[in-house]
Amino acid sequence: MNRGTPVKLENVSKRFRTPKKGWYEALSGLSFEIEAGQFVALVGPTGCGKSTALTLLAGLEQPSIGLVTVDGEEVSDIETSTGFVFQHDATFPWMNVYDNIAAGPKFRGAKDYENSVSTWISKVGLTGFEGNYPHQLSGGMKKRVALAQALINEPSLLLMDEPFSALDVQTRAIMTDELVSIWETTGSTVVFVTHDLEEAIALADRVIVLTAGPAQVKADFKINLPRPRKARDIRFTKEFLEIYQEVWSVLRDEVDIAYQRQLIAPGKEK
Amino acid sequence: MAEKFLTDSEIKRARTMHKTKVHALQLAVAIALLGSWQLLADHNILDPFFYGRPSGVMHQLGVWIQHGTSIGSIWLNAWVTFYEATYGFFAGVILGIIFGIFLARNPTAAEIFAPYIKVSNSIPRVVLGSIFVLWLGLGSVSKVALAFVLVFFPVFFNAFQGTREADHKLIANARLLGASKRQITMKIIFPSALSWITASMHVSFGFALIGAIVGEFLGAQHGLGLLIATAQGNFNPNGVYAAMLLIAVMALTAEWLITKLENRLLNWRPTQVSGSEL
Repeated sequence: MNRGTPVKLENVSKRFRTPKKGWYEALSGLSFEIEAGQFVALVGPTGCGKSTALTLLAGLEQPSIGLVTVDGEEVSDIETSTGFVFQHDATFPWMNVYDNIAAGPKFRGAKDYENSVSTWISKVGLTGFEGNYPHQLSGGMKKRVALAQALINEPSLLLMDEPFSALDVQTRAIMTDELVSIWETTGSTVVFVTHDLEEAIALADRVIVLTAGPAQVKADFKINLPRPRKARDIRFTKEFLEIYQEVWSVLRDEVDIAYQRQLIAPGKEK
Repeated sequence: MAEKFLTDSEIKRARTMHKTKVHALQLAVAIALLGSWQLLADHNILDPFFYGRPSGVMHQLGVWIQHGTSIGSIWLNAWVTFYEATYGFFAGVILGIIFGIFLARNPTAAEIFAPYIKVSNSIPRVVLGSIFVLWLGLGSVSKVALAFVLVFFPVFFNAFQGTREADHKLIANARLLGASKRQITMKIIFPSALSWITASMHVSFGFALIGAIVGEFLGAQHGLGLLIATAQGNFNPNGVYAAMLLIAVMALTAEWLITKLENRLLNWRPTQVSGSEL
């Protein structure tokens, strides 16, 4: 069990060049702070800059203005103490399940990683599939590979960018459950980006609602549902529904704004 | 309406029958083509003095194998052409991959060299053969050099493009997992560019053979190219065809080996699933 790291965004803005030589402002003065070991869900309408915030935290991009810190230090390059689970499949197609999961320790020059690879393979339920290549796996199994690939490095910060959005509803519910039970044993800080409010509340200690882009923090909710949680069942409790309604009433306005903008300027977002 | 699934042996039998039919028809096409050529030549409709004839080609091959050619044993000449092409091929493939990946990974270097590469690529490379013969003499080295320049560019461009097209998400993922720049090149970029590279290798062996043979046309002591040039000078069309036949065998063997290699290297790719049960 490792210690999670605290994370902070201070007045962060990020702009990108558009193909037409203009600028697209993805974030504008976004600030929030996350305590060590907290599981935070970022929710917000399409194109509000949630994913951009994650790439800044990972060090994949630098902010145009502002400061991003992880564990009190400025993020200026890729942080290898950070784990990242991508929205779309990012497993290496030419490596089998075993080599994909062993990739992190191998890159880092670790010795004796065989045991931890086997442990993670069984933790994510892929025993017997070690020799399979990604194209031979289902969507849910690929996600398990991606999860084990990130977690085997024992990241103190785990970033997840809509990791389950490409899965069917049932697989998604199962994966959500498994993520909760795995995370509860690691203690790392998690920032989980999602469109799905139900998923956010079921997983997180805290839900941050962002405004339509460029994102600002619109509201910040503490989720006081008991742990350990069973994500699949908790959604039918009274407490869950109350929180859901409260958060949704805030999010709904932003979703409407984002949707109206899309109607006016189709395709502007991406 | 079928009431049961086809059994394995039924599928196998149908498959064998299909294959036999295709092979028989392929053979029939060959017989028709060669037979009509032979007939036309025998009846002097196609003048055998200029066009040769299949029986003459076989006879010529027999003579070469039994008595050798005017420039030494046929096996020696075939071997010379083969190793010139092979050396040029490997040198071109290896350097093409190295330079292609290097330049694609270093955008500034790519910007600097882009005009030079464009200019050298626009030179009709066969012309270089004359320069190489001047510089490097009539021996094999000038042919290897010509084969090399012919192979280098297609492999280089494919390796470059393959590297550029490597999935950025995979590179980001590898960096986050702790990969160094070198590890990214070896473990991520190279495998993802490999299908581009092997695609260029298929064409390239043909180019390597062209390089070796054109080089031999321009001046050589041994080789199938020289044999063709000699036969041409002696108005011996059968000699030209016989040498061509040997070159074709060489090219097909190389193609077969490259396909084997490709399947081995790219065994992680999904196999094409055929639609029918056969």
